[in-house]
Amino acid sequence: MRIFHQWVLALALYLALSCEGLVSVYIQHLAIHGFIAPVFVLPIAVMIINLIDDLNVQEYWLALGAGIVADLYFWGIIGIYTVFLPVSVWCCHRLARILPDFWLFRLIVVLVGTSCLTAYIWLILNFMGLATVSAISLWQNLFGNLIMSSVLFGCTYWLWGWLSQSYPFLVDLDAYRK
Amino acid sequence: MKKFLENKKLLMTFVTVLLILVVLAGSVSLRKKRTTPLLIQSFGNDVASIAANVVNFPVSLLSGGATNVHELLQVQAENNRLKSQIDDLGQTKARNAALEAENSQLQAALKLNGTLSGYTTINASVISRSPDTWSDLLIINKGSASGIAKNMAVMSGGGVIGRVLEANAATSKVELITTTDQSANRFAVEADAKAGQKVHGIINANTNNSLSFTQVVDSAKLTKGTEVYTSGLGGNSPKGLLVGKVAVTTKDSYGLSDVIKIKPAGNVSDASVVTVIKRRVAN
Repeated sequence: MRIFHQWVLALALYLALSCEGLVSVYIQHLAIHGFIAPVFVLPIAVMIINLIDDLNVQEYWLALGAGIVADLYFWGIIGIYTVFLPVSVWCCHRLARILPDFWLFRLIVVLVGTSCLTAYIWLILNFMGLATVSAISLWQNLFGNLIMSSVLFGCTYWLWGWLSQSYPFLVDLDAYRK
Repeated sequence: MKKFLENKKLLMTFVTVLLILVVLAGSVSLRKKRTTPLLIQSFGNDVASIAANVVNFPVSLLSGGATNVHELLQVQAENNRLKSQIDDLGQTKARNAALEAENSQLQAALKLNGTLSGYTTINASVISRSPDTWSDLLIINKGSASGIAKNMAVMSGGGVIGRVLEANAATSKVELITTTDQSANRFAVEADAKAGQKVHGIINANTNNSLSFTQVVDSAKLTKGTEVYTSGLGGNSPKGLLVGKVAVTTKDSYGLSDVIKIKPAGNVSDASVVTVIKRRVAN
């Protein structure tokens, strides 16, 4: 059971991956009404976890694993989340040490991070010839991302905060308590 | 150059970027070339889809309920429209049965085992979509175990919406017809022009998510509202699947070639249930 406690966060990210795909299906319906926004449940989760728990170096492996699985599941290629998630862990660990322990600063970090991810996906898709996307579409998505990521942050902040503190990845809290 | 090689941080960054590009290019190339994904990839995708199926179940129940209420509100108007068509239905059914029997007899006489228009269908639900708005990729809950293979046509809402890009054991990725992927497979299509002539071409996607009927010899033969079907040529998809209707015929910005814009018949932006089309005649 103690082993299970160490893997709860990984299991939660696995569910976040599924929710991300599902929310994307339903959010796409809003595109008809002119609202275009990417849905980044998994990257937001990884960023919140690492802004709250900035000491666990095992998070790099979790981010890398989640990135590979998500990349193959959503796009069938490796190099989008596989790159972004570990980089975001590195950035969040460093930022968490200098930023005040307050949700508003974390929200700003998440918004900047997801905006960078949107621009990175735009760059990769255009560069690899997987899509031809105009700069106007990038701006529309960046604007939509600010709204969508703020909503997702608000809905999941407490959950990821609780999970990262109660069930840190591959850390046996019971050993500390004893 | 010596300074660059001595700067370890710069060198590491350069090697990392290079490695990322190699992995990206390699995986893109693999996705395009392989008819079936690697076993480990297929396994990973199917495991990831288990939770998606579990989460999707209650959500689809709620969503289905809301759709049912919406449809109930429109039932009177639909009923009136259907009543006006019901008189023709009996006659059409009898004529179809006679034509079908005649068609089977003629095929038997010619010893034809299958034609380009023959196909079977596999129904599936959409369980996920890529989180960005540009990739135009859907994930459905049926895979190679259900008979789905790469490049099969996919329909929803009465028209073609895309084709299968990757078939795992229990899930598949569908690339929408509106994709702007430069190397994506395009549908070979045809339309009935004036005086019963056939016009052939291929379907291309524009950057604003609309479709164009390109490589047409004489677009003047096509009028607004002409239905565009798959031609069955080029393999993969059968003949006679509705792609859309001609919306407008114009010239390109140079005024040289014809641009025929198509209004898609399929439900591209709101597909929750899809039908995968398996062609009877081998490619």
